[in-house]
Amino acid sequence: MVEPLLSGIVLGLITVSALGLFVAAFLQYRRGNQFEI
Amino acid sequence: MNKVYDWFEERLEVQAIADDISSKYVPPHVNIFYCFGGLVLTCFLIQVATGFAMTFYYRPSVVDAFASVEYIMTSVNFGWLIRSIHRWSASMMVLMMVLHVFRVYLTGGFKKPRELTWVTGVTLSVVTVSFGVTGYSLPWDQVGFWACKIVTGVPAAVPIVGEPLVLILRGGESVGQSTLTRFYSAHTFVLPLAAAVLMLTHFLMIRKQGISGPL
Repeated sequence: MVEPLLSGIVLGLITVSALGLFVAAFLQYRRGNQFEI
Repeated sequence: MNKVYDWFEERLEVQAIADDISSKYVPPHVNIFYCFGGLVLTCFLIQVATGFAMTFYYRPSVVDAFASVEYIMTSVNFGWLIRSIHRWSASMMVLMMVLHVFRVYLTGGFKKPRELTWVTGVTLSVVTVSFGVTGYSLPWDQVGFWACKIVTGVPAAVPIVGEPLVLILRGGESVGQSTLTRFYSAHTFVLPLAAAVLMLTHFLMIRKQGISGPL
């Protein structure tokens, strides 16, 4: 049984979250260490 | 109010607990993706509440199970809502758990000194999926029955211990009443107990070590 609403929520949230985590990681990498410790 | 507080403070030192809770700060690298773990817990609590409500009407026998689920859906006050929430929250719990694993993995939250938190988390994920597998078969409808037959037959592929394992899972040679009884007992007693113990250790370790650091 394929449930379109459930499939949309699952596939949508997985892609958005995975991309978001990589973007957040890149932003942290670009900002670098600003405490100089 | 002050007298009540003093009474408890004198006996249980509640101020120390309050200080411990209010002294934790959220570090700046924490973002929205750190919510997934808490969302899994929220889903679990919803599952406990709605699942407990359904135990009043569900009957775990091969003859009555489907009829009792039908009764919940058509006759019980808000039964359709309780069961629908249970079903949706089950899917959301697995989804939030997967996203939580993404977050922990991609932020390196599993690294030293948090290896044991990761191990309890992986065990919890096995428990969560087992909840899903056992719960799926409880209505004893066509999909539930055949899913049960397939899933309990999978360990047969394992050499030597496979066949005995299938017998243990099914409670006999074929899938029947004893299988449903086992699934019901696992779904409403064994797995909740295991989940509670594992979650307690998971949370105590997070509490002790604090939130994982930036990349």
